This record gives sequence, C-alpha cells and structure tokens, in this order.
Amino acid sequence: MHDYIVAAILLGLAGFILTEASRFPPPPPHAMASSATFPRVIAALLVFFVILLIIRTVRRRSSNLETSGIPLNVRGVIGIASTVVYLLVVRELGFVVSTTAILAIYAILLQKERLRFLDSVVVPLIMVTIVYLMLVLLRVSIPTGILF
Amino acid sequence: MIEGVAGALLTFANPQILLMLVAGVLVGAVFSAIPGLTSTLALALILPFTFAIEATAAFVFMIGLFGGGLYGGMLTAIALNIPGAPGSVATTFDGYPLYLKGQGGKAIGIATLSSVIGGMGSAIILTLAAVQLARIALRFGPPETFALTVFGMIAVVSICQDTVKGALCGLFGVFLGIMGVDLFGTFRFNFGMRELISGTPLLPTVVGMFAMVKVFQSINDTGKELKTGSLPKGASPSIARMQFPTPGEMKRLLGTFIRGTLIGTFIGFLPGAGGNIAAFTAYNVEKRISKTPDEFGRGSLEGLASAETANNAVPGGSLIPTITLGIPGDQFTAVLLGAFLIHGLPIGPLLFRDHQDVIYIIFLSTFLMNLVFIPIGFFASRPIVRVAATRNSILIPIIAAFSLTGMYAIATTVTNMGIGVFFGVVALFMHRYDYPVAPVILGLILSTLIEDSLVQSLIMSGGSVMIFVTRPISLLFVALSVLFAILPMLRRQGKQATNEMKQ
Repeated sequence: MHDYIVAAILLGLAGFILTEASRFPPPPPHAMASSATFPRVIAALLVFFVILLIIRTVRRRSSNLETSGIPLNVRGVIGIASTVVYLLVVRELGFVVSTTAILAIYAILLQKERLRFLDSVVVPLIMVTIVYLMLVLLRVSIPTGILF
Repeated sequence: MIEGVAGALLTFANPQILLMLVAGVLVGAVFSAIPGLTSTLALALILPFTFAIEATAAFVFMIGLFGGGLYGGMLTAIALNIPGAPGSVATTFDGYPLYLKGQGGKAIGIATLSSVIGGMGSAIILTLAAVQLARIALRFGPPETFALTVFGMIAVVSICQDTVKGALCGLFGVFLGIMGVDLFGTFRFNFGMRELISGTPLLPTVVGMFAMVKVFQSINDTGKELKTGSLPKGASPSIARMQFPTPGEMKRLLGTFIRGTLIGTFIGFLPGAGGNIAAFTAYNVEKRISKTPDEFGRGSLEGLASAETANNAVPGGSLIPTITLGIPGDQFTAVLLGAFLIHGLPIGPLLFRDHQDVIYIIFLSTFLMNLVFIPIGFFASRPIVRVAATRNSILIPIIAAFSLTGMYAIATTVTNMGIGVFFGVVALFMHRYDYPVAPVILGLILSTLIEDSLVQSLIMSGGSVMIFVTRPISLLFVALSVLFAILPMLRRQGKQATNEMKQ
C-alpha cells in the first residue's frame, strides 16, 4: 500500500514540475535550452520510475511479498508533534527554556520503565548550557523570548 | 606534488591543526563505537559549527572523523561482539573469540596496527593516483562533466538494494537541488518562500536526514529492540590494555597487511562499496589462501588483520573519485562533498585546479590520522567501550541538542530548523519503507552541476544530444552509466538462475 502512496505523491510532484515549467520564460535566442528543459527531464524520469514501481508492486502484491505495518506509534507521534510545537514557540518562549523542555520530553519518551531524574532533567539542563555557551562563543544571536 | 605535500606539512606544524585532527579521530571513534550511530551522523551534527573555523582546520577535523569512524567500530566488535560500524562486522569473527580467550588487548593491538598500516598505505595510493586522475579530469568540458555526474548518480543508485527506489530518491534529491534561481535567472519551485530563493538549504537537509531522523527513530522504537548503545545481557565493557603483536607475528602478517591495503583501497574507490564489503572481501581472500583456514572464526590473527586493514584502507580509495571527480564513494563522502560546497569550494576537477592547498592538507590528514589510532588504542579504548554502553535516554537528547542548535546556527533562523525537522520526518518514513537517503543528498549536491553542464552542452551542440557520445571521455562515462544501470538486472537474473539450479 505504501508504495502506491509514494507513487501518487511522486506523480503529483511530476505534475507540479510540468505545470510550473510551462510557465517559465521561453529559451533565449540561439539557446537550445531554457529553465524548463531540465525540470521536464526530471519529471519524465520520475513518471518512468513511478510506473516501474507500480508494476513491481502489483506483481509483488500478487505473490504476497509486500510488507505492511504502521510506521509510527504513539511515542513517535508525540515526539514529532512536540518538535513542531517547539518550533512554533521557540521564538516566544526563548531558546533556553524551550530547548530544555524539548530535550526533557525526548528523554522521557525514550525511557520505557522508570523515569530517571538524571536523564529527564539533569542531562537536558547540561546540554542546553553547553550549546548555549557554544552559541555565545560563536556570536550567534539566540531567541530570548519572554522568559530567557 | 612534492611542494604541495611540503606546504601541507608546514600547516601541520600548527598545534591547533594537529589538535583538530586528533579531536576528529576521537569523535569519529566514539560515534562509530556506539552501535546505531555513525561517523556520517557525527559529520552532519558537526558540519554547521565548522562555519566558525577556517576551511583547512574544518577539513582536517572532518577527515579525522572519517578515519576514526572506521577505526572505532572495531573496539566494541572485539570487546562486546557488537560491531559499532558496518565495516567492523568481519572483525567480530576473530576479534571476539580472541577476547574470549583473554587476548582482548592483543586483538586491539593487531586491529590497531592493521588499521594504521591499511590507512597509511591507502593514503599514499590516494596521493599518487588522485594527482594523475585530476590531470585528466581537468580537461573535462561540459559534456564530460554532464556524463560524469550522471554516472556518479547512477553508480550510487545501482548499489542500492532496490534500484527503482534508489532512482526515485535520487530524482527527488535532484528536484530539491533545482529549486531556487537557475542559470537563466528564473525563480523556480520556491513555493513563495524567501528562504528557498537560493535553493533547498543543504545543511538543514543533511542534519535532518542523518541526525534528526535518529532522534525520531529512537523515540519511535523505544522498547521495541536493543537500544542504541546498550549492552546485551552478560556483556562486560571491560577490556585489557592494548598490546602490539610480536616481531614474529608482524612478519607473519606482512602479506596480509599488503593484500588488505590493496583490496580496501580498490573497493573504496568503487562508488557505493564501503568498509563492510572491503573487510569481507579481504577476509575471504585471506581465508582462501591461508594454510590454516580452520582457524578463521576461532581467533585467527590473519582473519582479524585482513578485515581491519581493508576496512581502514577504504578512506584513501573513496577519496580518489570524491576529490578528483566529485563522485562520492559512500554516505560519508557524499556529505563531505556537501561540506566543500558549504565552505565555498567547488566540487570535482575544479577543486583540484583551484584549491591545491586544501587538497594536499586532506591527503596529509588521511595519512597522519592513522597515527592517532595508536594513542586511542592505548589510552581511550576502555573509556570508548564504556561510552558505547550509554543509555538512549542520555545519548539521543545530546544528538537532538546539537542537531537543533546546529540547524539554527547556520542562518540564525527557525525556518532552517523547520526544514531540518521536515526532512527528518521524511527520512523516518523513507527508512521505514526502505527508501535510501544517500541518493537524495547526492542528487541535491550534484543537481546544479548536472543541469548547468547539460544546458552548456546543448548550447555547444546546437541542441543535439549526440555530443555526449561523440567525445571519447564522455562516451566512456555514458558506457559506464549503461553498464552500472544494467548491472542490478544482471545480478538479479544471476541470483534467480542460481536459485533455480539449487531447486
């Protein structure tokens, strides 16, 4: 099933490339190529290999060789969702606070049995201190936000 | 050439440069000793911070990382029977039995010496061969460059387990690379985003696809499998102090060292074939010609030495096409090509013509880094094996901290972090469904070169594609491309025929 989804996404991408390429300016006088030449080649090759992928997937499906399975579990979804939230709030909350929080969330998600204070709190704090000092040394301006 | 090497030697008189080399080897060794982590991941993490240092020092560090990454995997392979890196799998065959016999120190000594000899031998071959190859490559015009870069893409795709998926990933990477302003000044595929006007940013993409993906994968796989860096039940991270082999053993292993060096360098030269293939090939060759093949797998010194010599001879070989032609030998050199671009250096023959100072420093680093293995073997093998036992809940947040900070530091923008996280999620799905990541990065790196040389060739020929088959060097690369494209099909048919014969 997943190969069909990939095929659909890539066919969509090829369509997008061709549509966009049709809007590019025509080739300059005496030039045999334009901005659209190479993207069209890429789109054509994408369509060719997507067709190969579909044919092969159909064959494999008939011989029950296709693998299946859910790619993400609850932990994985929480991990990615937390990262997206982190990206949205890092400017507002500031680098230090938000990065400590996301590292602590990762550490908690990575512990299966009991939660360790060292892993969940101490290591994130130490790491944020290290990278903060590195950024200061490199003279990189850090989002300070409303907190720190 | 002699002046180039002499100039590079002067650079190494600077203690800071030497320190960068030692630090690179040490970091590479630690990363590759930890199962699940790789030196490519280390390179992706560190790349954004190399902006702050001079290009020379940065490349010395990165080359050290390459060598350390091949060396360090051997430590856990011997002490724990867990190969830290793919190239160390063959090391477990005889390294671990020696460890079980109480000869762990000797095993590390032989593996270290083999690594030093293999690495230095391949560095000499690199220096001699690259100079000659670069002279030829400097004569390349746009048609040769186009044929060469297309061959580079096909070569990397052809060694993917699934070539159709590999090709699609390569094309996806090329698409990412053609975003932004082109040769004609047209703005293409930037989705209205200001950040994409100059194309897909390479660094966040690399960090996302090699480092952030590790964070998401580890979280998703928590409790499912053996954790990264965790020890199997009953395994002990203790190891005896390194011992060098006796002069008699050295004499016995001389032929093994030479064969391993040649095999490793040659296999490293082939696109896509890394340390694991080199180590297995050298191991099998040594077993075939050995007078005592029964000892292989039970603690054979020849077995251990052949695998480690060949594994560490790979950098010299893989850097030959990487530096002279811009064709990477493996994942690490693919990202290293990106490092050249990031530091404002060209890739391919122009790098050799315009930046010989950097080239000779890279050659000398490839040679000297091997000497760093000796103090690491003596003093750091025990701590490194202990670090390999670090829990995921400590290790992964460290990787995440460097990834997020690195992506931000490149351009002090949160958008870059978003791009990296996006590609981290994309790579997570790619890994899950067996879509290779390396062709995406290579496509992204080579796309501009492919497109520019194609357009220039078409202008030269008045629109005829025959230009690619009427010039000898271009024709050679076209022929090689066809050969590499049909190779997977021939391999598959060969396998089918063998299976049918067995039945």
